[in-house]
Amino acid sequence: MPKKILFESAVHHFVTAGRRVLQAQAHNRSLAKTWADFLHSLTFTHPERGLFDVAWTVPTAGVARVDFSPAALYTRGDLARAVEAQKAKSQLFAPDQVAQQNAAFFDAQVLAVARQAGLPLPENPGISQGAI
Amino acid sequence: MFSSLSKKTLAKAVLFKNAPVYVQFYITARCNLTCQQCNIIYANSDVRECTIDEIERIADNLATLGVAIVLLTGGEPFIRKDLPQIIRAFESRGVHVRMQTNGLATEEQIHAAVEAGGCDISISLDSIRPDLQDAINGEFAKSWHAALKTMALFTKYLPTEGSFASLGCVLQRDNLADIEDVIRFGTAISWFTSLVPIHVTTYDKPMNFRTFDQTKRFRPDEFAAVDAVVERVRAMKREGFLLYDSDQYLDDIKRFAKGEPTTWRGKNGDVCDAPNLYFAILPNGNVAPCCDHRLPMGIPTYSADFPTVYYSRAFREDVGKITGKCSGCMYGSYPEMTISMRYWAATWERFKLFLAKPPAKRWPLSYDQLLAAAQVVRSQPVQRAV
Repeated sequence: MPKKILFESAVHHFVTAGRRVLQAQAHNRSLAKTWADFLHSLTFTHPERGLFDVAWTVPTAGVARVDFSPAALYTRGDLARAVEAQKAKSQLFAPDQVAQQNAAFFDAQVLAVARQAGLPLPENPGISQGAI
Repeated sequence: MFSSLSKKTLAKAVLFKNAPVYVQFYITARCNLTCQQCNIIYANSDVRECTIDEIERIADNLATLGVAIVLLTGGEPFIRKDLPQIIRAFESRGVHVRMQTNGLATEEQIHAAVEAGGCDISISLDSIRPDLQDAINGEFAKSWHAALKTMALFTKYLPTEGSFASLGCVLQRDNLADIEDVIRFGTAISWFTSLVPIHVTTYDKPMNFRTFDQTKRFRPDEFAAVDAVVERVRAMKREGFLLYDSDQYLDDIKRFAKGEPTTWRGKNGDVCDAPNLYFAILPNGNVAPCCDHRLPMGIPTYSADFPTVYYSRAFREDVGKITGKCSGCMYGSYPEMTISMRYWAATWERFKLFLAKPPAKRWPLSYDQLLAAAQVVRSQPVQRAV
């Protein structure tokens, strides 16, 4: 079966957000290790369009459902209408708002799941303005 | 094939290791396949695609920097409707374009790309068995046949002089027994082959190009087979088969497959040569050290001050913070650029390859002729490594 592109994308950006949080805790070895173990334990399933279920075994087993449909993935820049749409939002020759919004979205998802998993949440979660 | 700008940069790179020879420009994350070993089409989906106006400015800046080669990749580059304009933007400024494709381009698209100045193509081919290739491509029926049709079309439209065509083959568990045949097939049709070993990572260490699928890792009981295939491939190179990869790179394939440290960064303190010799550009035009990593801040390559930023100490330090911690890759072009520029044996090998009379291209070849060539290779009674 061909892979589900939006699901695979959402998984990638979810764990990348998790990695951002992990890196922000690099100074706290114990917390960083807990986050690394948590991320390493993740498994993902795709129950229906726009959703994924993420299960973990660290610190204690659990599962959460994430609605990734608000993410703006695969924004085109080639067709005339795509260019006009970008121009209308002042996106040309400007910092990538699409990427920033996606980063913030997935940061929020990862923190919500981490809260549910009982992970200690860092003071500075490492939300990035520009990991793009 | 290379402009005088490109040749000048190549010479500077050999002498000073500080000239941007090669840029991978990920012009899109969109793709019409979902290959098992690929993750980049998911990793780059979060950024917007830049427009042709921005790409024209990127081309200005790459020309100012003297970039010799820009690889237009993705995703599937031929999915962008403005690909011919993109090719023209770079070629018209003396920056040589290498196109990459999964082989699903139409005749119209191929013709337009070549007309725009594209004379260098790499097509992904991991097997000459249609069923296996279709499975590797993500269970897309007839995708292997589509790739062969695309290859036939490129042999129709590319000039026989001054063009370059190659097969990009990912060496992985599923196709270990097919690698030799891909090289034989490529040689039979005057196409080079380049190997890249599969790259796998875990969720705690996401790296943009690397798959998370742990079943793709080579198992210890397969290491001997990998070694045998690599040695057979090296022997084939000596016999005259068209393989682009250097001996050192082949040795490092063996190490990488086993999870051992590679050697190609050895002359640079175990750090790669990004951004000095190469770097990447994301679909939104932002610079990245490579296909696996991103900078924490957005630095657009279309910005008028990018050439200044590129040579700034701050930029080099920012990239260094990332490359200094990287465990290393084997993504073909990056290692081969470093090896070619830092190891004299490889420099000489590369120089001879470019100077030597290129193999005669028995083009054009029809799809039926390619099918026949594949059948001949498949049925050849040769001893294979595995």
